[in-house]
Amino acid sequence: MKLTLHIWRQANAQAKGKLERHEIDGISEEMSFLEMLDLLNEKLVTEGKDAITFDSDCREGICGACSLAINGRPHGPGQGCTTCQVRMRSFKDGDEIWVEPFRSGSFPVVKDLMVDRSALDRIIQSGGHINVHSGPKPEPNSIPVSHPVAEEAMDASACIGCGACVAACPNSAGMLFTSAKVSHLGLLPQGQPERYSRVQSMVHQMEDEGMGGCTNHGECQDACPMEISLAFISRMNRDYMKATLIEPDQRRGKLSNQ
Amino acid sequence: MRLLRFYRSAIGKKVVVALSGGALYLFLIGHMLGNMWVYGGQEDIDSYSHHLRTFMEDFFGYGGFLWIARIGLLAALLLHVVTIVLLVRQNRKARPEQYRHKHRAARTLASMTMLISGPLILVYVVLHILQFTTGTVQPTAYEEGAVYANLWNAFQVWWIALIYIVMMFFICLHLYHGVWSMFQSLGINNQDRNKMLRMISTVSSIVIFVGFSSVPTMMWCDMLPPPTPKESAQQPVVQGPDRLLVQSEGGHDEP
Repeated sequence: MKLTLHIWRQANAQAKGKLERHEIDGISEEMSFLEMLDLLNEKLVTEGKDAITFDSDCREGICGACSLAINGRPHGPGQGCTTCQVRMRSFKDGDEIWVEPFRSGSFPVVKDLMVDRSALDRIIQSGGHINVHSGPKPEPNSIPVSHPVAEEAMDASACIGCGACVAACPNSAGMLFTSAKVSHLGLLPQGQPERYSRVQSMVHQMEDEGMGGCTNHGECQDACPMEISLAFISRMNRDYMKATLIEPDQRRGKLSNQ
Repeated sequence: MRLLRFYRSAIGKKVVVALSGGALYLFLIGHMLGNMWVYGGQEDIDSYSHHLRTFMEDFFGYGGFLWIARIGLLAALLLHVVTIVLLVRQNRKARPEQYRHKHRAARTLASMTMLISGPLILVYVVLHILQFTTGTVQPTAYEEGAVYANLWNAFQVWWIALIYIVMMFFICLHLYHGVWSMFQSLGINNQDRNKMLRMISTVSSIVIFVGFSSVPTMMWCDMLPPPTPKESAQQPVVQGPDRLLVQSEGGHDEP
């Protein structure tokens, strides 16, 4: 298979990037997209040129390290899979492919196709965890969780934190990511004590990272390799409204008579 | 202040957009249903317009109820527009560098054109009020209170009818995305309700389009009778206690 690639090259976050044209031959259908890039890099290194930098780790769709927008779509063609799971059989001989980094103001380019996604880590740090030490594993029947709720929490927790939702959103909003993290804890008993403080601090951190707001296009849900539902965004909105408007900040004060 | 803290976040702003948009949406439904009096004939629509002014007159005074509604709608409109401007600025800043190769997966024509349909509707609402409420802009003969005749005169001109129908299409497009978004932003949507809420959004936007644009279509096609002159015996009694309807053709004064 012979392909023409337009690959984004950028020296660092400050530098101006540009698309670079590469021709590559001898690609087999069974290759993954990243293996195709490996092949291209080998060729570039042999020619004494600078290899293309891109992120990858497990290469089996679990870690969330690989990024890349292939033809403008984060993680490329195919539903519910990461870039590393994209096989070259998704393309035809002679295709032109555009490869760009995940684009977002909150994801500065490190080099070429590699972006810094630590904004997502900071959102997790702000509240995506349970502070209270839960001690030894409790007897399972002492904290009942109904099966459908457990499954829903599981769906939310499937988020691998790859950032495709932020990259796919025209507003670069981190709503799907944040809502998945807020919901998988908020749905389970262990997450209840901090449910309302968590949603506030995570939403505020998300905005401090410079991410936009949701315009309900649904691009994030489409690009998500874990197929996380927009329903979690609605759920986060609900929790955030309750947290900021209904739940009291001062829980211990007396109510005075005028 | 908790409300300010709420408004500072994008979710809070979205809630404000949803609530103010919801108020405008309810008004549109009411306005469309009101327009249906046209099919009852000239007398019905003219007296409906009169009744809006005398509704709860003892309490609010002549036109008082209408003014309260107008102030409420204006406040909703201002909140809607100002909040969206703030959100758009935040959203634009969030992605400084655009994709060179554009891809569209889930965006609809309606959702992508909200920032086009919105300002167009705003401009049209101003023109619409100037034409039919205040009579400041009079491309065709206008007489205050003579709702049927004003509509008839305006919609005999093909381009006025056409602009009206095209604008109703933009409103339909805006609502198609906006109504569902309202439920999503308010956290009312969930996995079970999504289909129903999408349906409400689609059906109501189409009904609003058909309801509004049926009037200019029917009038332009002469499928509705022309208005009878004011001097005729069928003239509706449209005299408020505080004011007499100006009966002369053309010139009129604001009371």
